[in-house]
Amino acid sequence: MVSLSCQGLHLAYQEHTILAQGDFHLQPGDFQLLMGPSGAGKSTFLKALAGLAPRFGGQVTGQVRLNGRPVADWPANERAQLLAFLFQQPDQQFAMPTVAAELIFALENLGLSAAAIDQRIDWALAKVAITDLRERTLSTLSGGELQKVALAEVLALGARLLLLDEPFTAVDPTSRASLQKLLAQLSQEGYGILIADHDPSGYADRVTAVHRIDQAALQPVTASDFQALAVEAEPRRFPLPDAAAPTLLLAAELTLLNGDVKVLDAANFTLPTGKLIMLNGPNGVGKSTLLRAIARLQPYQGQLTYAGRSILAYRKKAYYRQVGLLFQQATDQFLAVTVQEELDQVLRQTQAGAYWTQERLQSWLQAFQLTGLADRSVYTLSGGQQKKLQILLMAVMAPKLLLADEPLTGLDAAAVQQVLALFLALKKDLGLTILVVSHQRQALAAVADYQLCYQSGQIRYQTEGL
Amino acid sequence: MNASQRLLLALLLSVEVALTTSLAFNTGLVLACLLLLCWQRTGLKRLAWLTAVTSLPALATYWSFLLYGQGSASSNAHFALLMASRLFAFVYLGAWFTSRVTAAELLASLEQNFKLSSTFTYGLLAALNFAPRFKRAFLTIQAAAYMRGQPLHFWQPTLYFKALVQALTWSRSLAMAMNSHGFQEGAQRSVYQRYPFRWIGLCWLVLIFGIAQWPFFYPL
Repeated sequence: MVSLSCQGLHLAYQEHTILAQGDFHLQPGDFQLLMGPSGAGKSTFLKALAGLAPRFGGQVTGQVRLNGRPVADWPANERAQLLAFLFQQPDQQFAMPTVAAELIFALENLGLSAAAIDQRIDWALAKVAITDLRERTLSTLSGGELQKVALAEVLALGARLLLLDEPFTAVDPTSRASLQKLLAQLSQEGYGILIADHDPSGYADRVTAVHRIDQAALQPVTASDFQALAVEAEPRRFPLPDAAAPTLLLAAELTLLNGDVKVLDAANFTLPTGKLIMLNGPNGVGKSTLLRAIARLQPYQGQLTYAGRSILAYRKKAYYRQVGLLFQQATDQFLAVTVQEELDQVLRQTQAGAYWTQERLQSWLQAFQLTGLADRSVYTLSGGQQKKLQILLMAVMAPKLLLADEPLTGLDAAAVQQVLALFLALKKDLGLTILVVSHQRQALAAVADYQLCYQSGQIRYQTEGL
Repeated sequence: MNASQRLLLALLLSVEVALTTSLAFNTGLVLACLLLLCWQRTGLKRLAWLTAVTSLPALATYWSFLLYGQGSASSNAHFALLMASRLFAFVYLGAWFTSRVTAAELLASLEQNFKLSSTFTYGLLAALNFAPRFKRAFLTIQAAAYMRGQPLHFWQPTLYFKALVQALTWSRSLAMAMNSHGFQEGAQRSVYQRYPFRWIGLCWLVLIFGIAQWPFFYPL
């Protein structure tokens, strides 16, 4: 019987200890859930179990054993027939352009004949119920469809133990539900599944064990604790914006496409000046697409007006002084090499020079625990440090409209509070308007002024949480 | 002809164009390629674009050799025409080659027939598949720079530094993905689609290359 286990595993990444002493066992029939705060190390732990760490980054002490043999000793083509890993971002895990080509590539790695390859592909696509996607180009598929293709690929390879790293991040709720049902079915058929997820919904009656990784410790979570986690806190009631209040951004008959799907269909909304607004909607619905459209990085139909003029009427240099986007990937925001160079650059270029003095910057650096890193390359900082630095840099630039795309990812609870405090300070002291997309709704709901929600192709201010 | 055979023929003819001084040969080659391209229904628009793009450097080459050549007026004229015709020969030869062969097919054919390493083949193929993202990545980099009050133009190295960082990130994700899907460097892989070396293709290659040797017997 195939099994994956580790004992006394020690994991570190960029000098941070992720896990001090980890014991874990996965076998066929398991459906285990791994939870933990953002940035706690769920990904790194899963990669270590899959044999992708330390080979692709991270420091690992202790052995992870697949069928008794250290997982790092297995050649990739043999390991893939027993153990599989599914990535968080589906669009970065495929080497080939079409579904069929990708599956063929994977099966060629095992040395199978053309006939055997065809047979396995037919079986795997039928298993995941995506036979109609066979000849499709991967770049045209939605997040949910991509994860289904990834699942079909690992099933075709023959893997019996599946490790899934936050697979539903870019997946819409319907696909998520169908994938969860399929995974539960697979575990009953004898597959062993470990899934890392920050959202406990949909797992309640299906999982065989729940673990939590927090503060470098891997601990089991009892059924009652899990029930408590699954209950959402009482949602807050939001006011609706005052119709007479000054608005900064206006959207009229806005239509947005995400691939082939219409995410917004002739939507109308405004953003009132000087407020912190939360943008809500299910995964994969197009929240990032809207932020990108406002940042002129995505084509749209209809009208987007900033301060009375169409956003396309502004010259790029002038527009981006007014409107800033905090990218999902922190490294997209960086321009220079060291932390000090980045900070110097924003202090030179900021239009809020009177507000952002050296003293104020230093006090925020201390609050974010980013002191003492002046000569470090920004690309060698940990994920959380990069995120905090990215946010601070754009805060110093102080654009009138700040669009934040998942700014709280990878931050621990203390850092989340600091970031929200910074947003509030920017709003209060500089009158900035901030539009935030985050799946950490509870933290954000406590400080947001208004809530904009997606609902069947439209977008409206809502008073109650979804 | 198999894709590898096409590549071989194109390379051999290119080397011959570069080493001979026969204007008639170059002209003949250009006409032959044009005829083949028309016969393959390449599209007038594409042909027109190819001709237009090649015309300026060809004209510049012709003019410069005509004015600054070392020999007599007539030999300069001949040499200038020769150099200009070489440009057209290379471009149309390239167009003929790429008109029927896709990158994926060529790489697979080279892997099977010339034992090109599979790591190199799939690395290149995966990189080509990422090409549609390049434009989006450049726009993101430029936007990020504008937001910091420091516009990046194409002549500034920072733009390319950022592009390199992005490429390294993609390369790492891809390596992890391929590894997790069973790709083991140096291991035996099977082949789903074969691109065999057909004898008929080899015959065509020898025939065409043989005919192309006439400038050595009748130099013009």
